[in-house]
Amino acid sequence: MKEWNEVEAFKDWWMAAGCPIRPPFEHPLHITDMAYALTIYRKGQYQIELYICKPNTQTHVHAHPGIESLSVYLTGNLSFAKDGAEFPDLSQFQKEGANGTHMLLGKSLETVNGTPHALKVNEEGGSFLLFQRWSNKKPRSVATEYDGVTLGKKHDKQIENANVE
Amino acid sequence: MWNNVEEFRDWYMASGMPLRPPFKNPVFVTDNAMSLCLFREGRFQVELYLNEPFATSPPHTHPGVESAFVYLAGNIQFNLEGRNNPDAQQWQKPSPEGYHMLFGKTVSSPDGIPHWLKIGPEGGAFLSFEYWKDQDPVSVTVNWNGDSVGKEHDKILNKGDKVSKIQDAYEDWAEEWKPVNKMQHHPSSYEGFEAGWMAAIEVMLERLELAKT
Repeated sequence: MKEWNEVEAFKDWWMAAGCPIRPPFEHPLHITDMAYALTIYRKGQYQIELYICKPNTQTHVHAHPGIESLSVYLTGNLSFAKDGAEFPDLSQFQKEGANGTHMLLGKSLETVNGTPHALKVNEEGGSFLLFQRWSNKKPRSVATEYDGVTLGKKHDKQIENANVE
Repeated sequence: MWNNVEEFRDWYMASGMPLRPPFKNPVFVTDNAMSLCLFREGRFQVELYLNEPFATSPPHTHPGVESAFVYLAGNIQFNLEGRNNPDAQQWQKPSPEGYHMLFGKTVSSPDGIPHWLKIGPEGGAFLSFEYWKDQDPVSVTVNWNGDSVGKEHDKILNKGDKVSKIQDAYEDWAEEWKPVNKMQHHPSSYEGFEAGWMAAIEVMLERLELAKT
């Protein structure tokens, strides 16, 4: 089986392989009060979740212990903040790019390795890919490996379900 | 370019399902689903739909849009009027590769034929391939003929504010009028009742004004 040394290498392999979309049968979907996520690819300790986020929402600073992750921008109006820093102002990049896409399509952020971060979604909503490497557990969703204030009742339910199973 | 939605679907799947979400109108939210447009070219587009567990949609059509549905994951019962709709529960199993055994299976949904969904406890994910015959694509969530799936959906159908206003006032009124015991027949006030009627009259007056123009 193909394995990778780190999440960045996994992302590069997936892109070069033509971005295969193969949702797993087991636990493909996770719903919170802020976003819906579909795991579009899972192999061993690696997976990719596609997040669709509701407009005008924001997480508190949180972490995903034991998960190395890398986000890739798809579309909409999103802002990521690391280590409790302010959300960067990305308004200058809220423009159309090639082929009618978002000009930030495909841009990736630095890797987050269990460290605190936050996400803010503006009025357009937004979507991104989250490449992940799980160090100890079987991959499921970063929404259920969540250290921080949860996003509401739906999120609590997801975490509860994951802990029961 | 493609001649019909099936040609577009086959091209997209054979091309490795390219991810190219548009800048304009990519994300839509209803009460029990979210959508992301994955690819748009001319009058053709493909939307990814993610549905909450136990979500349903009433029978509806998308006027002027030819659609084709492709199964991705979860537990989805897709029904099309006039078709034998087999119970999808019999296929809630993994394929040898670890995907859903219905992954990639497709059903065409011609313009004007009602269809409806029932989602199981796992939630659901599917692709909606669309050919918009008369206008530039937006989302089939807003090009919807039939009962909505709820208040959030009403809002994006541009009827939500007024309908909800009347509905909310009516519900308040009904709650106030609900007998506490069998012997109680009289409401304590007419305020809720009046609020409901005032909202209805307001909407009617607005419509009369619109009709004049």
